[in-house]
Amino acid sequence: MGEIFNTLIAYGHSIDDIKWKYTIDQVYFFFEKCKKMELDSLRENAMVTANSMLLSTPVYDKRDVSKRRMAWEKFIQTLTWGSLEKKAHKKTVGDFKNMFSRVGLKVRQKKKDSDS
Amino acid sequence: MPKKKSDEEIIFPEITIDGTTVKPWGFGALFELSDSLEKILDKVEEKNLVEEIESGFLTNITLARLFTIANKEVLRIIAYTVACDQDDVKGWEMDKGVKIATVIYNQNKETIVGALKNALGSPTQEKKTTKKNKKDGEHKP
Repeated sequence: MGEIFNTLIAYGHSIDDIKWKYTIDQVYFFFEKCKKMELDSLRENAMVTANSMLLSTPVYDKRDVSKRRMAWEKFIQTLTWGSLEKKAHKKTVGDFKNMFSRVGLKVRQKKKDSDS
Repeated sequence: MPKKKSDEEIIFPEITIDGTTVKPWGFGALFELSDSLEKILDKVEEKNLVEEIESGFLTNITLARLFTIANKEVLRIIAYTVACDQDDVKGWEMDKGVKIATVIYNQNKETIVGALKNALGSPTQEKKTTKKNKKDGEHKP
């Protein structure tokens, strides 16, 4: 209980709100979200550190330099709102069909009984 | 196993019945109501209503019995939950009272059943322990 209250207060919730305004479910819900935010932030920091280290190590091949730059730009792109929206977009049957046809797999439509 | 609530159900839990809004308890309310809740749970145990309360489905008959055996406490809980005077609650129509009491139970049943299990010890836990003991016994020479 102490950890839950402490975490929520650290994130700016008032103790009176936690005690009197939020329902029990809401307290646990917000606590879970705060913890998830912390974990996400740690994960992002680890990724940034790893990518920065990779970018700063010396390379002797021009192709490697451009590969690295592209990887870095791709990584930075994942930190934008647009990519977050793209991730949240639910894939439709059409999207899956396009995905399979891009990799060269044919997607055939199931024959209806009336067709035969 | 209780159904996991959706984000929307958690963020917007209020239900309005005949102009009265009912909201699930917070930690503060639980602290304030623990005394009345304890008294009700004692009476529930006395009158052998534990199984019905624990089942998660409160019938009107069980509710009526609850009103009869612990009317003061039930009245206090209802009045506190809907932030109303006890006299106002007494003035409600029967139908409204039953509806609101059912909603209060449904919104807080995890807390109520949890308190009941803590007070009496869960029968499911007992069963598990007995099974485990039996299993342990089998391995013993």
